[in-house]
Amino acid sequence: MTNPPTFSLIRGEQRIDREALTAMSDELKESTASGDIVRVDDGSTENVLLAVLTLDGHCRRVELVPEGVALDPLVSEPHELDGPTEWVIYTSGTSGEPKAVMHTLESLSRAVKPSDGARIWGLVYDPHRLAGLAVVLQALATESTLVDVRAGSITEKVDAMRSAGVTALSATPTLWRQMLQTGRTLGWALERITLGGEVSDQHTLDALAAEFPQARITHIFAASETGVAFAVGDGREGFPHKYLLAPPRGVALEIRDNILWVQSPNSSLAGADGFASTDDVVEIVGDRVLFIGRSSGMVNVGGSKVFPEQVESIIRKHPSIVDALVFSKRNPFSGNILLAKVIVNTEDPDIGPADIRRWVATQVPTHMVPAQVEIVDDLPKSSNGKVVRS
Amino acid sequence: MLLQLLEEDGMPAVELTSDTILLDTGLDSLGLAVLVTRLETELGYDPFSIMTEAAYPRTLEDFVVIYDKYAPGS
Repeated sequence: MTNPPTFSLIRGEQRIDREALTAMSDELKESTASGDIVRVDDGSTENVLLAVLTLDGHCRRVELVPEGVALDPLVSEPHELDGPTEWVIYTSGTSGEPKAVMHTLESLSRAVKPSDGARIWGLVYDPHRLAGLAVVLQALATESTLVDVRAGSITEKVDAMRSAGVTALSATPTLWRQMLQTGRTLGWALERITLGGEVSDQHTLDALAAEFPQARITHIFAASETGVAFAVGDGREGFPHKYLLAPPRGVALEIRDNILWVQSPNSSLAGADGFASTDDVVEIVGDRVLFIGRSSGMVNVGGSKVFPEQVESIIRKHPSIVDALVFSKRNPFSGNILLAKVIVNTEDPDIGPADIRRWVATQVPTHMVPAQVEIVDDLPKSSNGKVVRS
Repeated sequence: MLLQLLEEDGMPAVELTSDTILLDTGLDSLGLAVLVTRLETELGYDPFSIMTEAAYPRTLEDFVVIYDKYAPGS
């Protein structure tokens, strides 16, 4: 008989199993006092694991501080532990300054599915943030193996995950497209694919379904304030219209002036009714609610409103294009003008910017055609793999 | 560059002289915006974003004069 699986963390050649973690956890418990405030900020995955295993119910507050978030020094006054441990995570800051959000380990664990069983999870996200912490909690709850591949290039990540036998992975659509681009994903027996942090378009969902036919593919909508608001597993972009009437996770959704609002009473952004704007412009098409773009990212080109995301999504449909980033620039003649950076499939070295522009012009009205298309090897990304539109 | 842009946009080629009226070439204000954006990449400056007064070049010559006037070092 084989023993039931137990959690372990793998990074490169290093392996830390549940037993070693428990010993480290006991040490940590000795060195922290009940009522302490602990900051987890050295960037390591094992310290996040230890905090989760040790500090909940033991310390007053645990702060998970990602790299790049500068905070004032802690002023820790002795304080009795009264109530559940506060878990502080920071918003990504893509829509402004990073902001501290208060949680409990219970609220952070709401998206965990213990019934999903033991798998081998890849970790490409920073575990100090919501998306990465969700992977860590899922792996711990299911006694899975967690393979930390945060360091290294995209090709190195894919190779490391395949050689460690990773079967489940959560990443942004941008990272998924790049992984497909490496040409090293064929035959990878992924069982669970999660997309989040950015809008998942139909083209990307279809490409993943074709490459990984055995995988269950889910795209999620989450924010640091609310956690996971909903998950969509039917392989179609957007989400079912019925979620507006019967939210699957009890997090109510509303569309106000074409913008999606999410019930998040604990968010500092929420109004008196407990709803906060997501800044996502949506459109109802048949039985589906589709994401059009960020409200704050909308630009006016020659008197017409354009969302750069719309144009990106169309450019990605070109068979020779892997990914695209569209951004705008001010211009005295048309208000704004769109510019595009595209990654071209290495098998099509002959395609040029003018070809791409001509093709886009056959798909969209003139004002949506980028003035200039630049072919690049990589798109600017945040540490968590979201594309940076500047 | 203007001719290349017209070709990309599927417009017929026109004969360009200094008196050519820009809007008669087939370029609309959006086309002009595209041209200025590309010239900035090529030349490293955009006179229309440097100049303080509004300018609406009518002919190709007007357009070239503006570029000469705001060329770096001139």
